[in-house]
Amino acid sequence: MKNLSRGITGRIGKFGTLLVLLLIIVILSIAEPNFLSLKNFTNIMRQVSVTGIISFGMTMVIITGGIDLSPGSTLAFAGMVIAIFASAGNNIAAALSGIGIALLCGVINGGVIAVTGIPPFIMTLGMQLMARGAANIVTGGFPITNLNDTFRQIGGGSVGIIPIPIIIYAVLAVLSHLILAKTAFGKSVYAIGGNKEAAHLCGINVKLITFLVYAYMGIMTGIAAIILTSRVNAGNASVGVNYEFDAIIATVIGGTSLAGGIGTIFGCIIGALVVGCIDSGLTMLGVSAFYQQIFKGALIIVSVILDTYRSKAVKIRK
Amino acid sequence: MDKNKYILEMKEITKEFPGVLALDKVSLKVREGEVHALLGENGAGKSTLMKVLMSIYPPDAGEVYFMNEKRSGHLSVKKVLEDGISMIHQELAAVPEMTIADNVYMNRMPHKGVFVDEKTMNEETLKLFCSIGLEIDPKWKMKELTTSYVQMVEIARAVSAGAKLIIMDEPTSAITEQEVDMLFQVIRKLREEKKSIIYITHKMDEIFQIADTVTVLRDGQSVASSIPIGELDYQSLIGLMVGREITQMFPENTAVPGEVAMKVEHLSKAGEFQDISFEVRRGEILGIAGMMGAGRSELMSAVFGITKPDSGEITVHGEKLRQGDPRESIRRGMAMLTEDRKGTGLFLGMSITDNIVMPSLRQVKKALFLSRKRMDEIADGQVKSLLIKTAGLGVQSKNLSGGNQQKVLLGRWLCRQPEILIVDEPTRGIDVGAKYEIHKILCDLAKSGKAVIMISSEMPEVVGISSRVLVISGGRITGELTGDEIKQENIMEYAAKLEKEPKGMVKDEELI
Repeated sequence: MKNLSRGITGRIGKFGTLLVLLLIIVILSIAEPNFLSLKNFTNIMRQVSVTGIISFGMTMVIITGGIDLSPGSTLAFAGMVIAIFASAGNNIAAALSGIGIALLCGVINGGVIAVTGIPPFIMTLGMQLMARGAANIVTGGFPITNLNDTFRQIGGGSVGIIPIPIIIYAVLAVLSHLILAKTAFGKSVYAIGGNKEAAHLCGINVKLITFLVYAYMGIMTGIAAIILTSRVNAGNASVGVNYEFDAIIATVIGGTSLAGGIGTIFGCIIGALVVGCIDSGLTMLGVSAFYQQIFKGALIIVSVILDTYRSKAVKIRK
Repeated sequence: MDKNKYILEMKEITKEFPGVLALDKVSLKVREGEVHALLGENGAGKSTLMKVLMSIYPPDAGEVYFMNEKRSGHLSVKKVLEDGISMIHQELAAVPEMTIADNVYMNRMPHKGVFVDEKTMNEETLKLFCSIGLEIDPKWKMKELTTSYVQMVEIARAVSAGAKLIIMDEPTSAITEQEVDMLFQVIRKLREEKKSIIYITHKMDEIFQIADTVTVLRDGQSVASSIPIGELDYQSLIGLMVGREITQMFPENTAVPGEVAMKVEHLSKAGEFQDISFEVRRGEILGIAGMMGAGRSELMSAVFGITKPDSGEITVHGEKLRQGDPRESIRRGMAMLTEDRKGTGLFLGMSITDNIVMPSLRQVKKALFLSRKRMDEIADGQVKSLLIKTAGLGVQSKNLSGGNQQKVLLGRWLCRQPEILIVDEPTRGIDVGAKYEIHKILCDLAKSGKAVIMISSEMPEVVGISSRVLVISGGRITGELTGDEIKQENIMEYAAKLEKEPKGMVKDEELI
């Protein structure tokens, strides 16, 4: 009994998302023949890379049983600072300050959550507002345009035929996967999400790990900010709105449980591709951005319903 | 009434899950007004049979008759309850913030116009409680009651809803011996009122105290059906359950106590325990006995550092222990298995390997990364030496039986070779065979020179394997027993001393 039910639900969990992705690709290819081209694929990947990188951090945060609602605003804040340095021609300072600002936001999130124990939802919602405010304060709300050409290469350039953002995305995917699946830190992340109390009793430093996870989220957001700022060739305090939701959708569609303890980077990549393909496909089919919003809203609800069923299946098997 | 009238007849029930024959022509016949014990090791098919009865699973073959009526098809929970079948679950389902009367009348409250008739409800509930000999005030909030009283209220609720057959699934797994007596009184009252009870338990003593007839399941088959309790004895009953003779209930503890491993001095924490001093030696199993709520688990949580005591000192191998930090305790060679296996012990969704190596991640690192091979080696070693029954190391711990889960937790700490092992209710809810194995492991540990501290509410276990026993009552040590003094009577005597008034006892003036 147990073997079979575990087999089926396990398989759906593992390969279900992959099947959904293939299904979406097939449907969109039939509806719009241009969809299935190398050019479009690299386009999708390039678009996915920004929220995709954020979703690596999001995956870790959600596996610990937390959530982060602040990366969209953090991205804008970091992007403004990056743009200031990049427009002045100092690219190293731009990159470092971008990562530094985002890391600071992550450190504040993680620190407050770990020390006070307030719900991550509240802390990061607060940070969402604060970071957005800070982004506007940097230049009083005015965008910074015309960054230098070298800097623009990060988001716009390619190595061979592969765009640089995709390379960064791939490197961070491998890095995040290794951290999560192969290190003691990663195991502790799963342990905290699976059973916080038991993790504490196993001698795992729950507060430190929680703190580090949000810090990692910050670093990912900082890198995403560099790519985005470079690609749009401007710092704009209003970018990145709802990016956290794209990242959450990608993470949850990819099989990470909102209850914590379950999830993989591989799943998160598939999830990001699902979101990217739907975005690109709908745009190619000429669906208006307003309808796309409705569609995406529905998508997040459906993905959480799927998650609920998954955790129900887990409970029954208990 | 006719004593031979069957209220329930389950005939040749077969239930197959893909790959597993969970029930193979199992029969269960329960008479009116009897306490029918349903026994079997974990996985024998008791739960599946009860789920068929509760109409949660449809049987593949066989028939169920209740009050001479054939039951078929999938029936709703409501219908099953209305028909008069009620189950008291292991995990109790009560609303803590509502009053006891609210809980009893949940879903069917009496009304006066549009409003709930609180007065009638409270009066009726009180009458009901009196009829089963339960002395509590219906106006109290549910959360003020101890587990055992919550259970009694659940039973009362079943009775008031018109239950004729009440299934009790391990009702004594979380209550003290005294409370068990109270439960048995209630059960006897119910029996007098011609209610039938299916009583599921792992505890042998209880069966001889309370059951009229016994049905034993083993590997999905009924190996004994409706046998009057008078025809059975201890040995034959265990033989039926495990399918082999068990000559000894407990392994012999032959360890010889050596030097002091840990010393606790004047440990106090407000509201939990006061001025506790004791020491535990290498090669010793120190039993910690007492009533539920006496402060035993709280004390050991503080010793291990889960909580921080207000004052006092702990010395491990002659050196002072920094308190309130489990990581420090682990570093100093201590380990603890908490009483709540699933709640605070296991990572249910993670593999056996992960569960075992979790506190030892540092030991299985190769440069930056964890070595899968080292992890599996360590886990495999524990699976083999502790005889953990599993299809593989990758099996999620939630899919193991209680006994094997407990062994996984033991393995988690044993692979670190702790000097001081604290176990809290190590065999709660575990079947007879696995219990013996766990006792054996604890005795072997003591023999190899480790210090073992065992908190237990199961008297036979405390008497069976402890080298020395501390009895705790009302947050204080009220007695210490060694050698021949370790007897159930003595423990009970000390445990009753200084006892705090348990919540749930009614004060006379509050009753009316």
